[in-house]
Amino acid sequence: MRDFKLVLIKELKDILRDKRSFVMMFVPVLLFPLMFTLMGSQMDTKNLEANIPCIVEFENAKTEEADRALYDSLFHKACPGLIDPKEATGGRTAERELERGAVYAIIRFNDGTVFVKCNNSSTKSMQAWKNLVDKLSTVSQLSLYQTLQTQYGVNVEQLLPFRLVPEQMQTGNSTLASIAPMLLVALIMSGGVSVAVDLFTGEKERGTMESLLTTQASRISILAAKYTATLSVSLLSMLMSVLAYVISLKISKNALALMTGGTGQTDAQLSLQFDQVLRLAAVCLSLSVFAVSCMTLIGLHAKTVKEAQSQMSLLTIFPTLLGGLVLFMDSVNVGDGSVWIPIFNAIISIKMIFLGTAEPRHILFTAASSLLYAALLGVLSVRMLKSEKLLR
Amino acid sequence: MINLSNVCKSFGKTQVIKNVSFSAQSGQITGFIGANGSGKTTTMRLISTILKPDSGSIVVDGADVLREPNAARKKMGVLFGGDVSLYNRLTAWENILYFAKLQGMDEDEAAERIKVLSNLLDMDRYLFRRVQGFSRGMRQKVAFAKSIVHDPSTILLDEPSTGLDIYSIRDVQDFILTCKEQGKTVLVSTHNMHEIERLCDNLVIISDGRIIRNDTKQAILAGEGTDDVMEMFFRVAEGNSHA
Repeated sequence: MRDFKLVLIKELKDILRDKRSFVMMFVPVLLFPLMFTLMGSQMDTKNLEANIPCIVEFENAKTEEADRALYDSLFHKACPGLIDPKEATGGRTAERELERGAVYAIIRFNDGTVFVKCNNSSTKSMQAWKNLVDKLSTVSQLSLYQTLQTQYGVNVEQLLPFRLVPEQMQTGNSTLASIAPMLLVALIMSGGVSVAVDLFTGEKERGTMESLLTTQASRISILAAKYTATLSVSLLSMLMSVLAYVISLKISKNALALMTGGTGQTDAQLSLQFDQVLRLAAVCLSLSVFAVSCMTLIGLHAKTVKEAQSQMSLLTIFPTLLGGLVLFMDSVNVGDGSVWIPIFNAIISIKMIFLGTAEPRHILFTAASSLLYAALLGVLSVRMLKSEKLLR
Repeated sequence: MINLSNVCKSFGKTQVIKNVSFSAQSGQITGFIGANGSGKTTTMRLISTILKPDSGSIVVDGADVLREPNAARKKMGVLFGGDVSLYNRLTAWENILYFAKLQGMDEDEAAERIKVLSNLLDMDRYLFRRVQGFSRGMRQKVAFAKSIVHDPSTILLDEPSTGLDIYSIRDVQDFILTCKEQGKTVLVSTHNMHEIERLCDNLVIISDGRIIRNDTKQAILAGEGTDDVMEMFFRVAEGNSHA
């Protein structure tokens, strides 16, 4: 126990003195909320539902009078306040104004036809265009129904083959359920990589491992202390990143939409029950133990830091891709077979926790299987540390 | 005292140490010499308990390295080939203290010993500075201190002066002579013939995993009819290859 404590304290001191690792751990807490707030403001679509800055043009001189009447009926009577007409300034063309973001759309009238043009490299312009097109289509449809009813006495309601009522189920965490597994697993699998490389392979490459093994400290104590140091940093790093994401979600209403590449609800809230948090902690902690066990074995096995880094990058990339795959899977459950597939079981469990469908046995099996694999990897690591291959 | 008896070691199907037997006496410096790949470092690793022999026995100051590895480690101070590897973010003091504690010393005892070693190796100027940025000579002195901080009776040095400047070589060699005066057993593996000439009382010459000569330096030089250590080594090695 004395040796364990000695090595652990030394390793933690060594890690905390590494300014780069230290900064990398705490930077997300400041950087992510700032980044999401700035990027989220670009996605704010609420102000694009009224007073959309547009340039209005009448192309055909012969039909201009009729086109102006159409313009009045559309934007003064049917949709008042929808657009905020602007003029091109500084001798620029309407296209140039659209390109530089001074307006979000160009509306052109030509003999009863309305052209609505947007800039597809601007998110705001695209959203404004969609709002304009939707509203104008609705106005056009309603106008047709009105004409049919008033002039020809046709009851349009009776002509329609069905009545469509769009509805959405508000599950609250469904968007989070799709993105959280990938984020959490990526953070867990990558959190301790640099520390593991330094503590195991780095020590071999520097030659200090040889000196360490000629002391009276037991090899198991050395391994356990290095493992604990790596796990501590990995968990701290993950917590810092999760905190960064939570702060981002709290302060930027569009953060989730950004995390999901625009597919998420922009107004989704982060709300988890206490038992959900506990379940999440159980799955994440057991997965962290498993991840650090993988890193330990790779770190001991690799001959050079470069080799360890390339092997550990696979350890990060593969689960992240798997998490990304689950993002697109609608319905998955931890079944009898999949519960034994490491990483995959944790990804599914995290998704189920966010959806509120995870049962205690799912969590128990997932955590138990992750810990079981971690124990097996631990046995292999002890054998590796005792093996003569370690320093070859 | 170090005593090796019929030690064999193979890696896979390759036998790298073949029935090696020799002794290194207390209060003497034994030079362990041989060409690259002859088995010097493997033998040092076997003595230092990093590797385990396939057969034979190794006893360090009464402790069998196979049966009582921890007792043997307590009696040994080991500095491996050009070992200047330290923890860069720790100070010289912290590096030495860490190894002192791992060797079972308590804080006060270790602190006293580090002060003595610092004085002896002239490290006072940089003892409390972080190791990052130290010259190779400074690092070598700290590495020396960490290896012998627990005051072992037996010291294994694998190429201790590799890459050092002339002043550092002198300091290191003086320190090795001090260890000899203190009655410690010193086994030095080196390619530096001047080092052998200046330091060693006895020589063990290894070639292709076998000990080909083991005697006092004077006896081997006289036997080969030369005063020059390098010439002596070539004659022994060539005589062995002809045989």
